[in-house]
Amino acid sequence: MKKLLVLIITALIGLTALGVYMKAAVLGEVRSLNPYFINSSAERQLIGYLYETLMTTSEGKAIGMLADSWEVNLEELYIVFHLKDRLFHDGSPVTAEDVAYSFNITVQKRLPMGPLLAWFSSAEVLDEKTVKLNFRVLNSFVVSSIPMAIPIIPESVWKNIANPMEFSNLDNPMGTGSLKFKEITPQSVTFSSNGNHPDSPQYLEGIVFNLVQDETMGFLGLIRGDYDYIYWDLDPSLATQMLKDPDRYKDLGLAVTNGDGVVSLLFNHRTLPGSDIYFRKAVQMAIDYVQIVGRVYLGFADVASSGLIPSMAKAVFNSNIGAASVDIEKAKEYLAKSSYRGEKVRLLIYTSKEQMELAEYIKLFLSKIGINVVVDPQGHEAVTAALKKADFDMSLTTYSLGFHPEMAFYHLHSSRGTMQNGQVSGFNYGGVNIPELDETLNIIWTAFDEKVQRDSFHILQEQVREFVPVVPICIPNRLEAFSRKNLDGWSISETEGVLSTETLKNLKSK
Amino acid sequence: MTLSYLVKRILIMILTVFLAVTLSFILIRSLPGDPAERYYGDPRLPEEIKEEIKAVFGLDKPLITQYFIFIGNAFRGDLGVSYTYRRNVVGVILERLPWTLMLTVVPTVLSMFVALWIGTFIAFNRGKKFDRFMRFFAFGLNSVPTFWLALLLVMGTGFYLNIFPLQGMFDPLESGMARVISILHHAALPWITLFIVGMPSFAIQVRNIALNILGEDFIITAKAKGLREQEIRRKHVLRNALGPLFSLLTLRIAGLVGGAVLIETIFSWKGMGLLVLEASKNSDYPLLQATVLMTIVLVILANFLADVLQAVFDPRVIYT
Amino acid sequence: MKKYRKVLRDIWKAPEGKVSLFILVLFVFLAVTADWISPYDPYDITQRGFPLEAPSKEYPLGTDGFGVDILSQIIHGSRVSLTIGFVTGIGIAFMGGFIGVMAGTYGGLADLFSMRAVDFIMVLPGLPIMILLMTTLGSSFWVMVMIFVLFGWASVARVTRAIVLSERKRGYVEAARCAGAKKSHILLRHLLPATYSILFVTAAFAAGGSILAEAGLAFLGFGDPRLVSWGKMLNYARTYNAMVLGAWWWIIFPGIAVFLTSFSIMMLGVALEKTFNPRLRERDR
Repeated sequence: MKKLLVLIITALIGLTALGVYMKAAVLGEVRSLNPYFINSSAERQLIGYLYETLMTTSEGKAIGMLADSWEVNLEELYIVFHLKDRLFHDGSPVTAEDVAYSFNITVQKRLPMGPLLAWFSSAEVLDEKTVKLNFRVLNSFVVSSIPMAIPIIPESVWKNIANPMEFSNLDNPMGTGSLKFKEITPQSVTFSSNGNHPDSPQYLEGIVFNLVQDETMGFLGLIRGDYDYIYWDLDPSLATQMLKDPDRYKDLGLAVTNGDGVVSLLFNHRTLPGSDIYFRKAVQMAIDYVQIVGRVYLGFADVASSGLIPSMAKAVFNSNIGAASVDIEKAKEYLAKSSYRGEKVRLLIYTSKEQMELAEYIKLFLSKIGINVVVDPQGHEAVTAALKKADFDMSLTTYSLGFHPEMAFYHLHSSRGTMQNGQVSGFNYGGVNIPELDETLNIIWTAFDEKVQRDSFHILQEQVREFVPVVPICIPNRLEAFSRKNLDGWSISETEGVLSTETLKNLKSK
Repeated sequence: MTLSYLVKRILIMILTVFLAVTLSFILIRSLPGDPAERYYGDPRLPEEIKEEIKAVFGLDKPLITQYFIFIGNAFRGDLGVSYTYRRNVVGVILERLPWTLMLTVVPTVLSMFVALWIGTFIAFNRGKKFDRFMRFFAFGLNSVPTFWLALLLVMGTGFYLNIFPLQGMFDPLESGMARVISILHHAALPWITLFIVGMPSFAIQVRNIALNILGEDFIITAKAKGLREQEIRRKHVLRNALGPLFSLLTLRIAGLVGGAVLIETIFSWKGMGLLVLEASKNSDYPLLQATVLMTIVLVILANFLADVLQAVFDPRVIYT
Repeated sequence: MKKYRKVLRDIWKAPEGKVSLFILVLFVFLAVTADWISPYDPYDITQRGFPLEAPSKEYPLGTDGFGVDILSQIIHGSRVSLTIGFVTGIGIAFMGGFIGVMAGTYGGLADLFSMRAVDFIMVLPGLPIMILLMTTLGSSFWVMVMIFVLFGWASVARVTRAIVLSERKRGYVEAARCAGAKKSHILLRHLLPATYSILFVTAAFAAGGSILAEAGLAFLGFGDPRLVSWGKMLNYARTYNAMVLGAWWWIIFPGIAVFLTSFSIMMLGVALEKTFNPRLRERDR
């Protein structure tokens, strides 16, 4: 009896000593781990650890993930990928079969991968580690987007799934990523480290993702040491508080890094006054960007370049453009030239704190030059619906252009803003339709030469400043909070933030 | 209680459920937006896929046929597939239900026992200071926003005093017995909150029941026989109060299940209430509809149970 | 007229009546004169101070995380709460009273249908259905009022119907009917007035309840996004970290405001009940 007890106790101690989990808080729910149907940022984050794609970006450059190397054939519209020697979570190797299956299933089952699928036709196996993807359209953008978008899934699991649209994938979501699935409860998901993966955490047993309902509770948990990291950007007021009172938050760290999203003011170019360039220019000159950064973001943001592309996209950023600044006199001049005569302008926004505040300030600034803004706050769904129906005068949106500046094509090219059955066909909700912009965007979209691309991006930014299709306002910083109470080894990377691959590899218990 | 009464009550219950299902069908179908698009997760779905999805779900049939399909499925326990969970909504709900029941049943039963004790005590001391105080206190509590009180309690005991966890249902790193203890630790504060809010008014209800019973003849007879007060309380009042008490209990639990949204929000308790809210925020209409329907059915069942309990325990009441 | 003066005097005499009338009049005064007496305009961003200022001379109840004066928000928020309470109270009394009296007077199918509807509504769990409705209909002020009335009228109708039924059995109604009075005449002259007292009382309770319900829904984020309301203040306080930032004034004061208005209206209901129904006074002595 005594022996047994000792045995149990040592076993228990052994178990607890085995390793430490990083305790993280994620905001919202994890309802499914189906990589084709992602419904929350929490799901996106978790699925990112489980599944991998052929390629990814690092510091703005395309690099291989599961692919070791690739050859692009522009004439015959195909790419050949040579795979790395990687294993799925169950230990079986990733074969060309799996990769081809992953690509083909999106077509066969017609999974919602957006417009990307219009360009992809089929995948074929060349040998065990080589796969060939055939396309209908092939250009630089396709090369850098499709292999980064399609998750590689094991054929052995998915071939048994009759309808992927009704597959929550919670029993054993198996991928190739650095973490593997362990347990899910209504309030947490546990992943353990995948020892077979070169980037897996070395000293951590895994990560526990606590699903938190609101930011306050998450932050309080961080202070108490319940969590080591919170997976969302801190509210600027909390960041300010942390910096003001370092003694109270002595275990906590704050990582402030450049954001990749450009908060912008959208116009509806299909009607007046949005279609009037003088009106748009007047708006651009009337907004006090510095005050917005100070009041709404408490300084944790940078005024956006009026060329729209953020400085984070180093390779294509045009540093000669500079930020717009407020000039009431000039704004009034522009407004006088425009056809605007005091009509109500409806500013459609979400009912979030950030957008409500932004909208109030924009309303205030525009009222100074005589533009009559009516703020129309709506729920998330309603705003999306209104945007898709082009039912607005102005709206606020965030363009994620830091990692993918080429996405500008989708937001500004006239072909993405045409109306079909009462709905905008693409992401160009404002219906921007400026021939000069279209021309530049076409070049960007098809250019393969790095220099040509950079040059046309520079031209694009000049044109955006000139025609003001949208008004870039600011780029909020990423504000990550972490706790040093339980774990050591945090490092901050300029592009990846604090929870980089490097950090995850090095984190260990104190 | 007669059989015909039972049959009548059951028929009415089924009719009520039927009505609720019908109303929810009308409400959901009158919403703007295409269900096929939501199911697909992307409004820009190819036309042929749209048709395919519509065919699978019978959305291409006339509305009246759709209605009968919906009714048939609903009574078979199939309420559709969630847009966000990507599986049958009933499965999702059944996972959440035990948590809500756990949250509500424990403090309600607990407060019943305490209320029984306090309620009979103040009934015997009617009009005295303590009775007046309890009544005033219970009345005042009716006007205190429960979520506000809960918020203050979390702030005080969870954050400043550090006695209770701030939110959640357990520590996911614990397993086995330790997880059970962790659940109890996490449930303590919501239980305390619900107890504080619910007990006083429960006690007043017990008091009124007891007063009614005290006013009846047999108590007077008992008093005349010279039994001690303690015994009167125990024997007569308790026995006669049992029927109304049980029906009160079920109704209260039903009410709490229906109103759990606020308390679950504050404590991040993943029950039915949060599910309703979550479904509403994501416009996951099948889930929203099913969760509300299930709550309605639960509450209707509880009402039925309350009536039956009352009838069973109170032979003097004749139901026809 | 005299009769109502007496009722008012009776209410004033009861201690709870005095307190509740005082609080209520104060809040009504705040709501009506909000534009003049509130120190700042909470809708105007140029009048904002620094965020999270503790209560001081300048900001008697402090400022919230946006720098908006809490006192001004409470004063303006009283408009939403009182209007919700007032309108739903009246709406419920009218709708419930009308249906109850009709069902009681005319009986038959009207009675059957309305009472079945009452049974149906009374067992429905309010909050989840309100969320369902507000999700589908949108969360504006009038949608909220409509939902509250839709849920509130049932119990009033049931009580009114019972009163009408018992009045009908009384001698004077029989007498009037024998004298050849029309049904509508009996209804207007005799049956309706008998229900007034209960309608006042239920209206008061419904008003108190709807103020709480509005606060709860606004707290969950279903409030009208354009209006400053107490529930929305609490929602913001929770969402925007009042607890972490130690801004207790942002949480405590709106809660107290909700409590005081709801409490005073319900107390008024109790006082009314006592003046109308002296037997109750006897029992709850």
